[in-house]
Amino acid sequence: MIVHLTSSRANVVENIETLREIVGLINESGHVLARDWIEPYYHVAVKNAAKDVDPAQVYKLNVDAIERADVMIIEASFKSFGSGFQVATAMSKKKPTLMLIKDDAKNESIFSQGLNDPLVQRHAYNAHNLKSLVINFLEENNINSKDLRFNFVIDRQLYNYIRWKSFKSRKTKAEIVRELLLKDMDEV
Amino acid sequence: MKIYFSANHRYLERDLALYREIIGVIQREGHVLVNNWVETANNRWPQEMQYYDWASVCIAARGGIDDADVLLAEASGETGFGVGFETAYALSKGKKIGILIRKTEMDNSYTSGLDRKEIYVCGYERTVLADVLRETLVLLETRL
Repeated sequence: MIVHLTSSRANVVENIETLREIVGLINESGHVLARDWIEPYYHVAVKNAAKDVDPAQVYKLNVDAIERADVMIIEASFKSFGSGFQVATAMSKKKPTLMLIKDDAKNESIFSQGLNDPLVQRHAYNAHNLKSLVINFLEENNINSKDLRFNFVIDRQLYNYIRWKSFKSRKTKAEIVRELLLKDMDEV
Repeated sequence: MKIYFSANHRYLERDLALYREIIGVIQREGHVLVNNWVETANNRWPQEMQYYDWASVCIAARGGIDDADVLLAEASGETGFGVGFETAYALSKGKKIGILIRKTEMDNSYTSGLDRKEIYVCGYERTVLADVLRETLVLLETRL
């Protein structure tokens, strides 16, 4: 899977070891980062070795990364506009999101406690449970990229309609259901 | 226009006069404020903050944005998760968005990088806030 890992940029230096651990867990699990920005930004912030990326470019890169990613992990111990913006963007694009908040965080968002979207998980973490939280989230959402199958039970009325629609449109029943789902996804 | 006002509520006591000035201009210019959470919060917070039902707050915020034509955010200083969340939510719903930010903070924040084709970001100085806000409201009504 492609994973977008994000965090408040203001918190990267203070939290670099945790972010490095999460990157390591993502890589060890066989997944890839949508945008590998943490180490470059750390070096810019600490060593002043290169020019920082323009905020407009950061915004565009983040939105592109969310679009490209299958899931998002956000270290959200430090509340920020960017964190909230990215969580809402991921929700609008139906990307499963893991919010990780240090169990002793003093500056976390209280607004985020109210998010009750089924695709957003919000967990407090510490040195002992970080690994299991990340690994479990990745495993839960590691959907095979090949086509998937599931049983589909409908009543006679729906069956007759889909049979008629299939005959009329010269499409298979599966194609019709797929098109309906895609149309619904566009409208949500 | 129906306007949803988004701002950081954590330092409400400190920012109350600023928020009231913004809301006052919105109303005097003939617009409708959707969900005046500022006064609600002022009556209840901070003493009840830890007991607050944040799920209901989130639902009400999203409902308010759904009902509005425009999201107007004040995003200066230590802007929180909620303002960012509400801005992106409004964007995903195709709402017009205006962001007010103090001029001194215009160049070095996440808000300064937002796509200007979709979001109108406006720098202001405290002494001329009302004038800047009036111009912003006209722009949101006509240009965006």
